[in-house]
Amino acid sequence: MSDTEAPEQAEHTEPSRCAWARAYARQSLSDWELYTLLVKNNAPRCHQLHYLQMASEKIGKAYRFRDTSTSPKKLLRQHGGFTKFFSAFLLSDRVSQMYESKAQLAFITPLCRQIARELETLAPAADPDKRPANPEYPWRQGSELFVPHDYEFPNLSLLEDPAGRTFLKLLCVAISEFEAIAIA
Amino acid sequence: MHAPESRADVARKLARHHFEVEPGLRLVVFLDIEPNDTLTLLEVSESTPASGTVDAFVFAPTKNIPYATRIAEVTPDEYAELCRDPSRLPPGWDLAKATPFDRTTFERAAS
Repeated sequence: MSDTEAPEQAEHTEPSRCAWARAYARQSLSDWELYTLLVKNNAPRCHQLHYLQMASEKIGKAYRFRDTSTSPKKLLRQHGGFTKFFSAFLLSDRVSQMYESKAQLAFITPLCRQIARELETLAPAADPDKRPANPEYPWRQGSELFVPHDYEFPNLSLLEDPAGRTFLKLLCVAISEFEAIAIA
Repeated sequence: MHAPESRADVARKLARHHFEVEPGLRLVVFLDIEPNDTLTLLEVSESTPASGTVDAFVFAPTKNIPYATRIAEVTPDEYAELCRDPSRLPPGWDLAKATPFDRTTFERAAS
C-alpha cells in the first residue's frame, strides 16, 4: 500500500499473486528458522517436525502462487501439495546445478520424494483415518492413545540419514533462494 | 553468436534429463502454449501421489535453461483421465499442442 492510499480503498484491493507468493515464502523462512533453532536446542521431536512440516507446506504454496494458470482464490483454498512441489523442484535446473553426477541425483530423487510424502502426511488434516500420527494433537489407534510429545515418528527417521540431510539441504535452498528460483 | 535455443529444443533436453534422474517417470508432455517465455511440462509419473488436480510449479530461467519452467506431475491414471476430459486441465493448457517424450524417444536417438 502506498503512503497516499486511503485505508478504505486499500481494503478492497486484492493482493497480487506475487505478494501472496512472497508472503508464504517469508512465513516459510520464519518456520524454517524456528525448526533449526528447535533442532539445535534438542527440543522434543514433535515440535521440530511441526515446524518443518509447516515450513514445507508454505514454501510449496509460495511456488504454486507463481503459476498464472490457477487463480489466487483457488490456491488459497488448496491444502497439501508439498510432495508435488518437491518432486518438481528436484527436476529443476537449480537442483541439477548442485550435482555433477546424474547418477547421484537419480539416487537421491526417490529418497527425497519419500521423505516429502511422509512430511506432508504429518499435517493433522492430511489423512487422519489412515495416517493419524501428527505432531500437534493426540490421536487414537484402536484402544491406544498416542501423544505427539512421546512419539518417535519412525517414518521420518530417514531425516537423520544422509538422504535426510540432503533433503533438508535442498529444502533450505528452495526456501532461502525463493526470490531467485521462483519466477517474478 | 549462437541463436537462442527454441522452447521445443530445450523441452527435449529437459525431458531427457528428467528421464535420467526420475525412475518413475513414464511420459513428459511439452505443451506449446503461452506464455512464450515459459516451458510447460506435464509429467506423467508413477512416483507421484494422485491428487485429482494439475498443480504446476514455476521455476525461474537459469544459464542452462533460458526459459521459465512450469512443471506439473500427474499419475498415469490421471493423465488418461485428462486425455479423455481435457476440461480438467488448467485454463490455457491444450493437449492438441502437445509433444510427448517417453524413454524410447531417447533410446532410439542414442542407438
